[in-house]
Amino acid sequence: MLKLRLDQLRPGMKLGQDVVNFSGQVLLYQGSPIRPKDIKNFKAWGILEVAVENASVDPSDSFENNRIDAKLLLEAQNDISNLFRYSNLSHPVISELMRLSTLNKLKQKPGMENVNVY
Amino acid sequence: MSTSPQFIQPKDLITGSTRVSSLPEIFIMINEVVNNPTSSFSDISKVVNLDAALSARLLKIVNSSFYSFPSNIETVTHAIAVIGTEQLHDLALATTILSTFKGIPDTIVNMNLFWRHSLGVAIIARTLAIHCRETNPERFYLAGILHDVGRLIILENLPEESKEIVSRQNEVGGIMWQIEREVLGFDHADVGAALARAWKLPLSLEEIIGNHHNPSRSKRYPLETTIIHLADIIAKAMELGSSGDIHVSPLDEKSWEQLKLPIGIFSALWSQVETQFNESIDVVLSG
Repeated sequence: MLKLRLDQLRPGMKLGQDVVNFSGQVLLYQGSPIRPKDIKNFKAWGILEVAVENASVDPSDSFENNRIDAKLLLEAQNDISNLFRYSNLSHPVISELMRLSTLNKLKQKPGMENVNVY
Repeated sequence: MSTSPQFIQPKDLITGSTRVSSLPEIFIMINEVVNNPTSSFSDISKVVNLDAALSARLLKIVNSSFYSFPSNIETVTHAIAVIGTEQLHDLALATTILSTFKGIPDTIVNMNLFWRHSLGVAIIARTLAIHCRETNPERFYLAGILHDVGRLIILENLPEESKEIVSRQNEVGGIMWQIEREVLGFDHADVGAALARAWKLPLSLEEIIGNHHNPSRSKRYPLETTIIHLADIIAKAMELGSSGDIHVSPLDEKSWEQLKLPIGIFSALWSQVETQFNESIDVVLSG
């Protein structure tokens, strides 16, 4: 089962696990198809990630969604590679920071100022 | 200093430096009045007001988005009443530190970028501490401002060795604090801890500063140290200023797990910190 951030969720994906708020109340049951209003609701409750059934996600999906030029993306990734030269790139903290750092670089490129995929 | 670095200890750098061998006088006075149980808020504010730049800066900070109080705070007495004496003590020290190190030339490290990095770590650590429900987030702000000052003390007192450290990183590669250890036998974290001891700062600060690259070595304050360790990594990923090291330090993975923070927190933290950073950069670094 895959855990996805809210920006990676697509309507129609099926929930792999109940989503509960901090007091344990179920917001959406396992197996339910996710609707756009559910994503809004998760956001309002401060849910950061949810489990989905049989979804495969392209890691660059959140970029693709914003129609980002592949060449600029590659440039941004190159820009930050030296910064993380001595980091364990397979650790989830580092890969999340690299993702955010790449976006940050991307925003500094001409025409990319309004990219927003946080 | 002409002694061979092999024989120099971090504490010698502190006692040998006129800049840091004693605490700034205004801070000694603040310390005394804060620690005196009979002091009133107005006694404390009288001392803070002795330093016009300090009191102006404190008021700017308490009125910024850091606190987002509903109404404007116009006097130091009012500021102390709302943020508390311990927080005031830590904020006052954080602002006096910046003036203590004023006038170091930009020859090896760009001072503006250096303080931007420290401020970035301070703001990130403070935000992380709030997420972890720590009781005094200002302690983390102070630790962030102080975490790399050891590097400035090394720069000022061992200029030749400092040049060698920088050129070795450029030519051979490697992480700055590890190269410092090879060249000097100690690193900037050790010097920062020696400064905290000499200034009789709280033990937590000494441990946090001294172990910020290896938080698992911190015996009494492992979580606090991990927060600064992580904040240092995030500040580098965000490219807020520069400490002089061009690489992100390796993450202490075991310590990270102890914090029990979700990965998803970083994207929200990123934008929150960007706003606070841009807002406080002028307040903190001007003048």
